[in-house]
Amino acid sequence: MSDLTLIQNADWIIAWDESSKSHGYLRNADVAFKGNTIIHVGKSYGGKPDRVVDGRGLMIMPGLVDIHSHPSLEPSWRGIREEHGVPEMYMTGLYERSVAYGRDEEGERASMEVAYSELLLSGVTSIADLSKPYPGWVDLVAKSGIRGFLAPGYASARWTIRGTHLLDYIWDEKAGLEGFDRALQLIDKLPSHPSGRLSGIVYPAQIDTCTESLLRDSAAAARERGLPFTTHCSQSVLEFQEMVRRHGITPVQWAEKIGILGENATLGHAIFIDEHSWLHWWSKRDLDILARSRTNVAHCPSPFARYGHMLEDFGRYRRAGVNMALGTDVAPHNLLEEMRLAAILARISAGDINTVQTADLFHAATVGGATALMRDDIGRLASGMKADIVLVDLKNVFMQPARDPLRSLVYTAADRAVRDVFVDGTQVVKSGRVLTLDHADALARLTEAQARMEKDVPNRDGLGRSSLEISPLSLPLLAQ
Amino acid sequence: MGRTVIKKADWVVAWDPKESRHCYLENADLAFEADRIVYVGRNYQADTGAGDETIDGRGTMIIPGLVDIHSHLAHEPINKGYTDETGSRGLYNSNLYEYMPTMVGDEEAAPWQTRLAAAELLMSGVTTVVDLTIPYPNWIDTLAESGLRACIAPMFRSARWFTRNGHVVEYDWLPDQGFGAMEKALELLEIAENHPSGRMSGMVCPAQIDTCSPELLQTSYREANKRGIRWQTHAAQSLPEFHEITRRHGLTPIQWLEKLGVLGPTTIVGHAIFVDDHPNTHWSTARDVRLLAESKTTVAHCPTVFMRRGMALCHVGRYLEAGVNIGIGTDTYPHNMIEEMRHVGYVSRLMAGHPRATTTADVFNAATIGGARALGREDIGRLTAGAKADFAVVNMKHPLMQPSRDPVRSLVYAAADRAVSAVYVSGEKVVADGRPLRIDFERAAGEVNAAQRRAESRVSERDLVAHRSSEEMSPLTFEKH
Repeated sequence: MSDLTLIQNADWIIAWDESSKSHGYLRNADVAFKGNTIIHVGKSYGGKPDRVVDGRGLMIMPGLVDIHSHPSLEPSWRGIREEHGVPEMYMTGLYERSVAYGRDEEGERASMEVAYSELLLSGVTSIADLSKPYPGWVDLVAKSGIRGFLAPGYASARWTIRGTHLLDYIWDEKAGLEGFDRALQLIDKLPSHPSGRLSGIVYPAQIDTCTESLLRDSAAAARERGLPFTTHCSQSVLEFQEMVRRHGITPVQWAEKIGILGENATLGHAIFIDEHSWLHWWSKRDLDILARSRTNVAHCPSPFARYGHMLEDFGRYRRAGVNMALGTDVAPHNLLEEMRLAAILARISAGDINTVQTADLFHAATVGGATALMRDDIGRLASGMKADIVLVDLKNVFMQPARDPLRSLVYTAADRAVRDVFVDGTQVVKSGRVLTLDHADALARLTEAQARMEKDVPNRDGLGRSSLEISPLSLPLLAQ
Repeated sequence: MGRTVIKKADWVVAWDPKESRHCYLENADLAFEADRIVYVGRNYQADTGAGDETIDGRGTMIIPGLVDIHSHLAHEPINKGYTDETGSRGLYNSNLYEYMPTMVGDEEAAPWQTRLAAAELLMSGVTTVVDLTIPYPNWIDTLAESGLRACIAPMFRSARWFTRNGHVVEYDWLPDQGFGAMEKALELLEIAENHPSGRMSGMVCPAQIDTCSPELLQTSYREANKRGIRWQTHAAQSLPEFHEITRRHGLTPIQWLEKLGVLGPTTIVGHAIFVDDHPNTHWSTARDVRLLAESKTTVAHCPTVFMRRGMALCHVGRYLEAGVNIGIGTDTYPHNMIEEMRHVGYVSRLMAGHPRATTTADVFNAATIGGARALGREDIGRLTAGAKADFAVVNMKHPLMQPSRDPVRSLVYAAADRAVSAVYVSGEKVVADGRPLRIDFERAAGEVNAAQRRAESRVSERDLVAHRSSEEMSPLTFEKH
């Protein structure tokens, strides 16, 4: 089937200008796609469409590329995670939560369906899904209709906490190797998946939980296959301190030393680099290392902003030559809101309104992510690109006045104005509703799974605390 | 013994007992008898009796002898030219773990280092010093011979720190040795208290918060209280130590001391730099300075050794405003208390970003009555009848003192020790014409120089990281050709 769809006479189109390698606005123009490929972006398409969408009152933009997300995990923490952090661990709650909260497979599936619904509703058409593999994962990604870059995670160690605050590691190198093996088996099968929309990312989970050889072998496996590689690196003060104690150099410098950086590598989240103001490390090399090695940074401002952490700063990294991509590392999985937060935090950190422009963030959320995924056929509206397309409703009250519709979208309306979404030429969101997943049903299952998860917390937490003790409600529960 | 009267000093920094503060007196007299001051004021009228001596004070300023509450006389002089600009990058530029342990004087060097440091201290107007030293034979006699008033602080600890790679500090724990060393230290304190010079005293000094077991910290604190004497330790002096204590206890070094119950008016903390709200620690709380103030703990502030590697307490003005008692120490060569005072003022202002953060009066107070309060003494650090006759005579004619509109400023910001012509401790003149009378300064310098050559030859065996030579550890400023 290769129907030809024409979106005719759209008020605005965010079109890709190949000559300047940047996005630009087109007024009153058409987008046509046939099957899964865009065949025309411009004025007055002359061909014969099978289907016409009236473009008046719409902005047409490329589907967004989310470079870093944990869909099977994060939604289950809604209401738990937003202001949970351990002050004695330099504010991060990552380690305490990872130890205290477990998930069952049912919960992981429900969590993922919720996350994918949120992603599609906010205009994301490509997702890097960093998950610990679970039964049904691959099929669920395919079912959602999204373009999935699956990153099955594995590690040689897991985090534990001694006493109240001391991060420690329980090493099991064999488990790491077995996980690596299973991940490669899964990844190698993805290209032949009937959906045609799935591929893999090699993903040793964290720089501090993987042995040097596991990281090296993972990077080699990715290079052999021509696949992207990702890991968490420079994501917390404790990780930084751990790595400098182990190696005497920063996590980024060690990553460079062991040869895992490069054009195909994406680091989540490269916040705590040597120059970060919280670290007081002596060197000033990390940013240059990232830029010269053409390593990509997966920037996910929300989870860190909640702890009081920020990257210093998006604009400076970009000017240094680092390819910046955006991700939704937390619920809500709303890449439009992440763009807004990324802009605000960069300006706060730099004290400079001009450190980033909205165009830079849109570039990161589309082409930046595509580059990190080694793809030049997504994140852009141009002839020959994949038909990953978002229709934004300019009549939405939050979009008006729509003098500059991208600004209206990023700074005000966000997902509220996302009307329709196409991935690979197939519609997955219609009138603000997900067509491929049962969002409401998934939420009901997630609510039950969260209750099971919370009940189990005292058995997992080293201090035997309840979930309410670890993360109290925001307001007291009154008796009457 | 008769009285000595210094008449018509151009300036006297006198104590105003009503207001409990220093003030300037012009054209004033100071009289002392034996070890006590008997008069400070204008127009000393008493009859001059037999054996009395009158000194012409014109062209001088009399200031109280300075009180130095933190110094390592037997350890630091040998480091000159070696640790001036060393620091481990992998240990947040601290000098303590990789470099300091490699330059160590032998036993023969110890008394000469003490004499050299004591000479420098006296020449810069110090009359009382707290000497934090690992005990060596004849330490107390050596100190007493110098003429200084000294409070010995024999250091003991449960562990030795070391680094094998320049980015991890390790601890070699020997808890029993810590208690054994404490017992020996307590015996030394008895000897000091009963020393015939009458100028020796002692305090209890578990060396560092990270090298002493909680039991040793608490037991030693009780021993100090039992004896009614002071207690001093190093805490919050480096980021590696801050990280170590927060990892061990989930509390900052200052909070850990509070939890152990060892903060209080008899406690001195050297150096309380890396507190929870210091800009380099990024800790979650902002209580440490308040804990120090509320417990009436004294901070021994020694900016020079830290500023050499880019570290600074943030900042003295803030600590003072919070109510912390601040004393000053010379934690490194040169043992020049007046230059240390200058650094206190400058560094505080740099950290605060304004010139009002610490006034010269604040600095002078810290170097006199702040230190005296730390030691629980009301008879030193001030010029008033009844106080010890511990004072320095400053030559107002020295070119660096002029213009002399405000002579303490001229002294602190320009002349320093160069204008200190005489120093008296307990009424005994121990510095004359700027030279120490009881110490062979030149010989001490020569002996420490020779000791440094011997110590340099042992650097490579003491360097656990890579057995580097002295020149590799700390390259010379210029290459030798």
